[in-house]
Amino acid sequence: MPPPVLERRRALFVLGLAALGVAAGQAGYATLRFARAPVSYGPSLRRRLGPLEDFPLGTTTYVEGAQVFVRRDPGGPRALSAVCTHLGCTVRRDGAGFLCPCHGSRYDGRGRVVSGPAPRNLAHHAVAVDARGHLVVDLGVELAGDPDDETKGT
Amino acid sequence: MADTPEVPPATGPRGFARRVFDSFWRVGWPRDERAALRALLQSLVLHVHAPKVRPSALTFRATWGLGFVSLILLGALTATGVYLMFYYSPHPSAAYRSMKDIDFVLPFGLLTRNVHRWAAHAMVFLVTLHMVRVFLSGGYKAPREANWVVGVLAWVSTLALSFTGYLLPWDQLAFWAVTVGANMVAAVPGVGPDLRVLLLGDAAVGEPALLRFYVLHCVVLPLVILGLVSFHVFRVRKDGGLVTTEHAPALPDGTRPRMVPAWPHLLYREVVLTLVTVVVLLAVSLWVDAPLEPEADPARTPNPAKAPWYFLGVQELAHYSAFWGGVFVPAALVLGLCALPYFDRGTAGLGRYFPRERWLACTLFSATMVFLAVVTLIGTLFRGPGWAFGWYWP
Repeated sequence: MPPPVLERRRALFVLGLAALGVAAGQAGYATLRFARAPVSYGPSLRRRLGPLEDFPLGTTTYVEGAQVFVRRDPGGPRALSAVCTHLGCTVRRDGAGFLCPCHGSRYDGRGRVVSGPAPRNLAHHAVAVDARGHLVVDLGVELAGDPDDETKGT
Repeated sequence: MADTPEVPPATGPRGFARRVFDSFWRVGWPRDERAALRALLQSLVLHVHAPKVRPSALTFRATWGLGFVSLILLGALTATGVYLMFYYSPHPSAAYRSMKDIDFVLPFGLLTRNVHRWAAHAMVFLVTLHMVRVFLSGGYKAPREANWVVGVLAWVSTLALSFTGYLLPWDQLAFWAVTVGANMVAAVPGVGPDLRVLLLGDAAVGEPALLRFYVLHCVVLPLVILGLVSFHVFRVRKDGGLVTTEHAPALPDGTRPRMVPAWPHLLYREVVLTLVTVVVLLAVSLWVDAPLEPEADPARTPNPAKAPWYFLGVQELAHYSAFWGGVFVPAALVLGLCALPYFDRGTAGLGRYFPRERWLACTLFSATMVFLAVVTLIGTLFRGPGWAFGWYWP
């Protein structure tokens, strides 16, 4: 027995709505893909910091353009981010450690939180010496934890 | 969807969803003619429609859907235009690179641009046909004179939008098409060169022109056309809908044809036309890519340098005389179209295409349009290198 006209109409209507829903879903997916740029329009995050000799062993030097403190340890050069892990202000030197001027977070000389609202220690960036003997930091790469802790552990 | 006859449950998630839905759409899904009329009157989205329409206005040949499809295209253009604005950068140093990114890097970037490009061309074409259609049925006569003038202005705005958008890719095609167009403006006697500076912000197409065209294309002209089109649609309704033969006073037996509710008769046709438009637009955009030539180079003029196709008729005429073809004919055309309803005031034969009673007006108008179509075709298809446009740039 064929279904009553009204029921068939209703089924077709629901089918049509479902098709529209699928189309809308696809459009939404395309929009998200479109909105998420696969290219970066910002500047490169690698910064050349200058010749290695400019950073004598045992000192900590702030490099303005890169927002990093460069520490020459016996273990190698370290690039400690100057960006406070709380809300992104730039920390300044305070005695042997660092102080964030925005909300008063304090870090020790190796970037470990001492007090204040900062949730994590200051980040370490990947740093290397290029062919010309210059120190190059990659602000896009954040090392997991303190590299000096790792050397101690092994 | 609310065409279930039973009263919905007031509790539970279904009842909650129902209450939210009903709070926005109070009239619900109309189940009879009365409810349909109420829905049309109460809904913001639907009340642009008259509650009832004449059956003869619903036949396809009454409109060929030209105005409505133009409206849908305008919507598609707005949407894709906003999408493109997220990535397009209106500066000569970055514009072409951002076009390359849109075409070759962005997911769905080329498709978005294709839809924008083909919808724009289609809109110019369909709005022109819409005008022809309205003319041939006498739709510009009282009480619709003002709406005809608004329509002519919207047509000019459509052309202006297309023209300003043409420069933005900043490729050779864009650069030289707009250079040619701007030089036609410069042929206006007396103030021509000043007008060109006003349009370009400089003596030639460059950084100021790109910024100017960008702002005109993305802000000024969209607002203008939105205002014109809104008023246009409003007046269609206020002026009593389409001109049809039923405007003739009552039938011989004294009755009038029965009007039908716009829901579902008009609405369903609109939904179908929208779907068909979207499908065709997507299909064309998947098949044919919008052109992108080498980056604009002010030092190398392609031969021939052509305006966009809808201006090639004018360019062809301008080839014979910069003033008569490039300025006088277009200006006379627009002014003549605007003045038309105030001089051609006969009331016979309304609602039929090319009626005997209006043979003179329809013949003159058709001849003009055919003439423009022919010179456009000549300019587009039958003019190759060596078009002898030497007088454009010395």
